[in-house]
Amino acid sequence: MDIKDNKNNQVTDENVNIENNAAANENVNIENDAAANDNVPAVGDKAEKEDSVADKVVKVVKTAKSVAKGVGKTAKTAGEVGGKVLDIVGTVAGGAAKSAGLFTSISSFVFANLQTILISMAVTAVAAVAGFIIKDMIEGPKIEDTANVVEEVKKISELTTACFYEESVIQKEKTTTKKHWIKNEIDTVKHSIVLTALCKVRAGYDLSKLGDNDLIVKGDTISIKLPAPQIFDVISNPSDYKVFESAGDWSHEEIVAMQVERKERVLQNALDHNILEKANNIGKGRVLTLFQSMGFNVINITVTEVPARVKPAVPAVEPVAPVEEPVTEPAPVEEAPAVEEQMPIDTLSQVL
Amino acid sequence: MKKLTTLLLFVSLFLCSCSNKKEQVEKAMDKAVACAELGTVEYTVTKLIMTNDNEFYKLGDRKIIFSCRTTMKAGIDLAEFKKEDAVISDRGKTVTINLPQPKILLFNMAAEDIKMEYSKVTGLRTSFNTEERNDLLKQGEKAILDDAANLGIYDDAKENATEFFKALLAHSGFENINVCFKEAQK
Repeated sequence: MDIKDNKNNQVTDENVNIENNAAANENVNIENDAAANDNVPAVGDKAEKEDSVADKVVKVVKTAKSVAKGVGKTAKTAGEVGGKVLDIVGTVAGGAAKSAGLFTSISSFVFANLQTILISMAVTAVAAVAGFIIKDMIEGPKIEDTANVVEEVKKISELTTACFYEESVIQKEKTTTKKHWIKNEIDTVKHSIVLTALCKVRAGYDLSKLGDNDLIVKGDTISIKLPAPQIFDVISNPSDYKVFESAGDWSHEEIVAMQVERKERVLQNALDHNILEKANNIGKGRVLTLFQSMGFNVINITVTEVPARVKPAVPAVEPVAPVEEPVTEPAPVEEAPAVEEQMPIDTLSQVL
Repeated sequence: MKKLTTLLLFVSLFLCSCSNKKEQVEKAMDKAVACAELGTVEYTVTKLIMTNDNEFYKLGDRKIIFSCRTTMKAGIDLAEFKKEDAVISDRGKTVTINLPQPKILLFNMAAEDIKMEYSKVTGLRTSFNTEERNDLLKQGEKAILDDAANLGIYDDAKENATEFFKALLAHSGFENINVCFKEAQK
């Protein structure tokens, strides 16, 4: 690269000299012209004209110099670019030669081992297809992407205070008759299924039932009359079921019937385990803690009705017996809020 | 010595089995557990769960379509609400509560709300068995739950929770009520 640069520099210098010579010749010609004009009689005009001609000459010389410099720079850049191009061409040519050699060696190897290569490719393809089929068989069919449509949005105020869990086994058997396809006889076919299921029952207070007079504040005392605890939901989703054993045909409707029956039984078990009473006891504690954190010193919690232990319809459980159960829970004095009078309750039930 | 070792081994095994039984009994008695969840919004979502099982290597098709109706409830888990999350200031006139982020408290895809709308089997294929049908429904359940955030249930739960606590605290005598939510855990 250095050698080429030097060459370029030489070329530039030559250009400059040529330009300078040309400029010098021009000067000479101009001077000659000026000398020829000496025959003009007005001496002052003559002097002025000579000055302007001299200025022009200087300008021309300057322009010629700058042009020469530009030409020199361009020539230098062109030389650099040319050098780089030559380098790249050399590299590419070398690479191509190398690639050609490599290609030759690869092709000779492929021709020599063509049979082995084809066999290994076929084995790989078969293994890939087999892997795909096995994966598909293990994973099972996939559902298509469909829209989730929001049908209803409901504002609720449910304070869940107790949950009941039960894991159970559903076992069913049935017999069906089927005509034998060779003999003209009717065969009896036995079907059996064993499912394991996890059910969850949620219970608590529906705070949207709080009435206008159910929350009264007087100074640092608050009195709240909670609605009776109730069962909110009995939950058993598809992910809560596992098919442990299945023989024969079981329709979707039959499975649904089993699941509904199991849910009713779990709900009854939850009631037998006094889930409503537990929800009540736990709930009162929670409400007490909540109001304590708000700074009330005396908290009176009353429950409108005591839950009745009756078998309800799935899923909502409404208590029957209307009995009041007042509970007064004095809390230690911590930070009393400055609430002096009983607060009016106008729109609480509407808001909740 | 050998007898003594054997005796000790039996005694230790007996004691271990006793403690296991005790644990089992305790576990059974703990079926009803305490919780404190304030549900503030309920979404009813419907979905078609369908599959077309017709791979190139299978001889025949299997198709099935279920329609289902699910219920989702979202709200605040008050078990995560601590005493220090409520700050009273301004001589009891102002209260600031810092609630945990809302979450899905309940997802219910009741069996009675799942209907098999269509089923077709052709060629050498067998019909969908109980396990396969349940697997498809599980996928549908997961798809709805995964899409819950896009449905806007969390925003509604937040809004309703704010409204609920503002109403409750206003009627408890506070004049200035600030309801905030803790930052979501990454």
